[in-house]
Amino acid sequence: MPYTKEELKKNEFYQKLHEQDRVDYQNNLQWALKFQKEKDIVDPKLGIIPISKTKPLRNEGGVFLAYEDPDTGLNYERPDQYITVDKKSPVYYRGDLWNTILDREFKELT
Amino acid sequence: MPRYRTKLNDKDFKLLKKEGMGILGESGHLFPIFGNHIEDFVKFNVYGLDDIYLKSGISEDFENDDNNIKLKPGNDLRKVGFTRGDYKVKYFFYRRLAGADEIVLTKTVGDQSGVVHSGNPKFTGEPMGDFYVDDDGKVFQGNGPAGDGSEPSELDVKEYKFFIDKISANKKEVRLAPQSINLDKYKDEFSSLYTSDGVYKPVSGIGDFTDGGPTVSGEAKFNSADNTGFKFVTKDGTDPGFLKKYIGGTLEIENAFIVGYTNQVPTTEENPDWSLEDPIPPITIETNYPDGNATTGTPVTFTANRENGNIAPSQLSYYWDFGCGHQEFGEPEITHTYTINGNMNVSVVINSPNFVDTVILDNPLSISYSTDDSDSPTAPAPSSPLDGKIIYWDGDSSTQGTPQKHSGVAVTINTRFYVQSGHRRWITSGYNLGLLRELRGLDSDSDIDLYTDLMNTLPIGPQIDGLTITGAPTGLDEPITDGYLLGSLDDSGDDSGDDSGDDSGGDDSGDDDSGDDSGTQETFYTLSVGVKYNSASGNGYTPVSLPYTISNEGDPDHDIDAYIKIDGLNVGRSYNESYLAGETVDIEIVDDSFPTNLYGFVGWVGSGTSYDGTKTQVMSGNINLTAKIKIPI
Repeated sequence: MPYTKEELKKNEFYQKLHEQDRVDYQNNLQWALKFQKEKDIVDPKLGIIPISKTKPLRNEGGVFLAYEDPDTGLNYERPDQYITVDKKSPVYYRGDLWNTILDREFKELT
Repeated sequence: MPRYRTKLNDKDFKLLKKEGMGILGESGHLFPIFGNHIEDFVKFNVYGLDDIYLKSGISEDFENDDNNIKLKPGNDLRKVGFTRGDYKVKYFFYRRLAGADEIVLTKTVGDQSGVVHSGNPKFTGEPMGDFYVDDDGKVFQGNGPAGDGSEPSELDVKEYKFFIDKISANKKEVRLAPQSINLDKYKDEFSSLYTSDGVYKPVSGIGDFTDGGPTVSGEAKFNSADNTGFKFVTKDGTDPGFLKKYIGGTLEIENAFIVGYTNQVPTTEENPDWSLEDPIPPITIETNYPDGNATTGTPVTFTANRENGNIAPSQLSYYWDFGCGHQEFGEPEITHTYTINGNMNVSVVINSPNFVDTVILDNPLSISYSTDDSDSPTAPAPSSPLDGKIIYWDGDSSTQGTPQKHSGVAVTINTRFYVQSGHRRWITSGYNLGLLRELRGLDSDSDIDLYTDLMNTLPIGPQIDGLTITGAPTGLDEPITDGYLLGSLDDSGDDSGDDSGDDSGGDDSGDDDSGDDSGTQETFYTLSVGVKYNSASGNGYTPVSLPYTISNEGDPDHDIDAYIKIDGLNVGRSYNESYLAGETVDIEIVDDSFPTNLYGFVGWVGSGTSYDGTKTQVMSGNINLTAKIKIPI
């Protein structure tokens, strides 16, 4: 018979197993944080970037690492768990130049 | 610099992107900044590492501040079911303009179909109506089947969206159409898609009565006669007025009326020195030869006199025509010495700031040759021991330069002259040279070479070409009296003459059987170069003269201009010049447009696209080139 969640809370074996998983997960996170301080990301366009310079937590491939709080299942509320997008974006010429470069006339569905 | 995700291709992106970055929506049609509008949302797509699409979702816990948006990819992934693994996540930042990913239930009321019965009030603006679903999945009005067994009203299930009515054959155009949903809000949203900037109309109407009469909502006016500011006089309380989103938009004023005029009297004061200018008074021409007979070589004085005998006002302008082909500006009294005989019709054009008059000498002035005038037919024609000979230059320009065959054009060692009446007559072509040799029995061995200074002692006579070789008075036996002397050109002129075509012919190319005579008949071709702005799109060509200005809405104008460099010298926007056959000319088109580095040379008319505005042209015929300026694409 499988255990219910309430039963698992009282099961010593399961609790130890669960705690071990939590420790392993935390160790994994700590290792990633330590790694970030010591390693670099090699970007084909931007060159070598120290991982520590990148705010979000990343591995050596530049992949963002999202760790969750084992208790809530949600992201840790830490600065390295956000991806920050700058609202600044390219600004374009408009007016006549816009129409000169881009063919914006309807030709078939007129 | 990272490449920003955009729907523009790389070339268009480069052309349209301004310097620097900006936050969209601070004003104008995108106002407000993303994240500050109730309809803003963030969508994300999840892909495997092999770029295969897996799932989409709406991000609900992103954080927004003035300059940044903080995303939590971990939460987003977990929300859509991805709890572990490696994924690619792409985020899209949207603002809902029309429609929604929602369902509405519609019904038919009377003769109106598509009336919304129930839907998300956030989008429909209508309260939700009761409905139920039967076992077959059909939807009906009400909370359940009627107890009396009456037939329930079935509802239509529709997506609160618009559909693609048609796709063009080239797959670049789509036509959207609304569904049969009879709801003003739904239709208005669809209409608003036509103008991304939105259209604002002030709330207008008659308001409360005051002492001065009723107030009129929506009334606006310019700040003053000389001010472009435009503002409301009265605005309804529910009217939001001009919002930031309308900055950069177009203001259209309907039913504008002129309600009065303001007379502005300019401030003037009379110039004390000003006086009404009189018309040109009656003027006659008188000469110091009242009998009307004068001779060459003797100065003749002409005087413009008023009726009272006084000389005409010197403040006026006098343009004299002496009847011999010579005209010049001068004073009311002027002197001219004639060199040819004949009856001279003398006149003067008199100009004042407001008037013009032409006065003619009453009777033509008769000019005869003076007895001591060397040009007189009665005087003996000059002669030379070389008369009847064909001469040519010895080619030594080291100390005395190079003689000229006519003004500004150097002779070459192949240039031939026929000496007649002490004048040298340039023989313009190999054909004429051969004809002359035939007529006069002159073979090439009898040609005489002269050094520069000696050749320069012979005045220039009329050239010998196909039309004049046998005719009088420039025929071969007529005396020549109206020649003129020409000095040498310096070494540079000498070089150009030698290099331009004399190398090939030796010393007697004029006798060449082929008829080619580069020494005596140098061919010139015309080079014409222009530069135009090509305003056509794609591969079309619509020339526009330079300079040309393109206005940009809210941005600095584009001033398109370019100039031509010929052999390194700026010659402006067009160029016409004659060149000796075989000569090479270096041409360069230089873009001088604003903004810099945006426009440039894109090719020559009639040729393919090229971005190299330099060209070395060999003159092998008349050349007509037009350069095209455009944004290189």
